[in-house]
Amino acid sequence: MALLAKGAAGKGESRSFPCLTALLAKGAADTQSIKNYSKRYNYIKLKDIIKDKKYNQRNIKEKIIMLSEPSSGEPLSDLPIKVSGLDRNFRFKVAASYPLAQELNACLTCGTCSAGCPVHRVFPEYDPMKMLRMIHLGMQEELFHSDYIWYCATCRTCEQRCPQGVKFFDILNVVKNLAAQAGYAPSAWISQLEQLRQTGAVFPTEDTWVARRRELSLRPLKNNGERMSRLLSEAGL
Amino acid sequence: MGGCILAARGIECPAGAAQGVGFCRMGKKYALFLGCTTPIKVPQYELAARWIARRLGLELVDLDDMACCGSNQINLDLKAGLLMAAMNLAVAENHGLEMVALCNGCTGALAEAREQIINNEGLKDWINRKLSPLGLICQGKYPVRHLSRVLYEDIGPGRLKKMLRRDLSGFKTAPHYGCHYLKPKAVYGGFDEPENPKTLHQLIAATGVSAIDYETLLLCCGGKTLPNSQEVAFSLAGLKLENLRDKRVDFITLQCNTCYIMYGLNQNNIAQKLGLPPYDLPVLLYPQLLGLALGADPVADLGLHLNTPSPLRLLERFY
Ligand code: SF4
Ligand code: SF4
Repeated sequence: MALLAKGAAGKGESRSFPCLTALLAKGAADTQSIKNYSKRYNYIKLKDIIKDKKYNQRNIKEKIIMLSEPSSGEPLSDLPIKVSGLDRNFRFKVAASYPLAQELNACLTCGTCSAGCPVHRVFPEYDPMKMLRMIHLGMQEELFHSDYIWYCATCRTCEQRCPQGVKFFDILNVVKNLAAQAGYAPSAWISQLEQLRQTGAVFPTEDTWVARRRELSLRPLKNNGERMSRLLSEAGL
Repeated sequence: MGGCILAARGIECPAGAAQGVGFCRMGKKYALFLGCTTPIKVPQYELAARWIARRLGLELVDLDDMACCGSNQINLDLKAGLLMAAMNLAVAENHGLEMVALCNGCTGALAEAREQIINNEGLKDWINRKLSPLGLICQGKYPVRHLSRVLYEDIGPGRLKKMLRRDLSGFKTAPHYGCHYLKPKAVYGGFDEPENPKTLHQLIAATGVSAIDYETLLLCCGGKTLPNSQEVAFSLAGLKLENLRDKRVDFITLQCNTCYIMYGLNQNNIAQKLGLPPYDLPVLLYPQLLGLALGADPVADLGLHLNTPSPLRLLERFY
C-alpha cells in the first residue's frame, strides 16, 4: 500500500515562531504582557537557567522560550469530549498492533510521562498522557488529524520513567502508523521513503559531499537504492 | 569474537593486554555501520573514528551492502523499519561480525530490532520470509554497540589514559550523551545508567579534559523532530545551549551525528530563530577529542576544520 503525504503539514522550514518572535520583538516583553500571555498558554520560565546579559540590559529579568500553537494543523481541542460516537475499540486496535504497545491499558494517569517529556517542556500542548487518554477514549480522528503526534523527539524518557511499564513511544508509533495508513503521513517522511528507493540513504547524493569524501580519502559510498526498493516493497510500503 | 588464542595455548601476551598494560590487537574486528547521516553530513566523525580505530588496533570492516537503519521509517510502519534494521544485521551476521555504529539513532534501531527478533518468533519468521528474496537470514546472533561503548568496554578509560600524546588538561567540556545511547535500558543490557550516566564522562576524563555536570545533561537534542517541526527541535536544542552559555566550557563533546547537527551545524540558526545572541561554542565528536589526545593531526586525521562553529582556536596553545 502506498502512503500518501498529508497536505502541507510537516514542512518544518516554512514555519516561523510567531508568538515568540512577537514577544521578543517588543524588546520589552514587559511583565504584564508576559502575564497576559500566560493566561492563554502555559509557559516555561527559564530565569534560573538563562542569565542572558544582552536581555538584562534591556531590563528583562526573565525570558521565556516557548512556543505558540503550530502555524498549521489542528490543535487538540479543549472542549468537553462527547464520548458517544467515539470508537471505543480504538485502544484494543492499538494494543493489538504491536507487542510493545500491549501495556496501553495499564496506565494510571500519573503524568510522569508528560512531566519528563522534553517536547512537552518546550511545547506544553504536546502531552503524552493526554494523548494516551485520547487513545483510551477512542478519539482516533482527532489524533489522526493532529500534527502533534509527529512531534515526538523519540527520546524515550516517557517509557523509561513510567511506573507501569507503558511504552508510550511505541504506542504513539502505532498511532502514527495507523494515521499514515489513513492518509495522514507528513510529507517529510514520505519524501525520505522516495529518497531511500533511489540511494538506500535518506539524503540525496550531492556532488559537494562526494567531492569532500574524496578530499578526505574516505571510501566512495555504494548506491543501495535497488536493494532498498525491493526491501520496502517486500514490507508493503 | 572468541577467547584469546595465545591464552588458550598458555603463551604470555606480548602486548601486555592480559596484564592490563597494553591492549590486544588480535581478534578485535567489527562491521562498521555508517548510517545515512555521518558519511554525508558529518564525514569528519567517520574520519576521526577510522583514525582512532587504526591507532587502537580495532579493525573496522566496511560492508557495502548495508543501508539505512530504518529508525525514521518506524514512524510510517513499525515492521518495515524493523525489517530495514534486520537487513543490516543479516549482512553483518553473514560475515560473522558484531556491529559497531557511530550514530546513537542507528545503534538504538539496530539493537532494538535484534532484541525483538530474539524475543519474538513470529516477527523473526516474518522478517526472514521478507529477507529471503535478498538471500539473507537474520538470527540476531551478534550484538550491536555504539563506538563509544566499544571504546569503554573493549579498551577502557584506564588503557586509553596510558596512550596519551598530547596534554589537553585545562580544557573544560560539557558532555552530551544523546538519548539513544542510553535508552531503552533493557535493550542495552544495563550498560550505563540512563538517569545518571557516567561512561562518557569517564571517556572524556581519560583524555585529560574535565567533563562538567549541568542541569540539562539529559535533555534531548530534538534532532528527530527537525523534519516535522523546526520550532520544537530548535527550542529543545536552544534550552541546552542557553544552559551552557555561562558555564565557561570550551566546547561540547558528543557522540552522535544527529546531536552534532543540532548543537553544531544549526547552532547559529537556533540563536537567530530564538532571537538570542550567538553562542560560538565549538562542538567536538568524541573520537575527535580522543584523536587529539592520542596525537592525531587535527585537520588531516580528524577533520576539525569541518566542524561548525570552528574549534581551531582551541588548538592555538599547541602551535
Ligand atoms: S507515566 Fe505511565 S502510568 Fe503514568 S500517565 Fe504516563 S503512561 Fe500512564
Ligand atoms: S519519546 Fe516522545 S513522547 Fe516520550 S518523552 Fe520523548 S519526546 Fe516525549
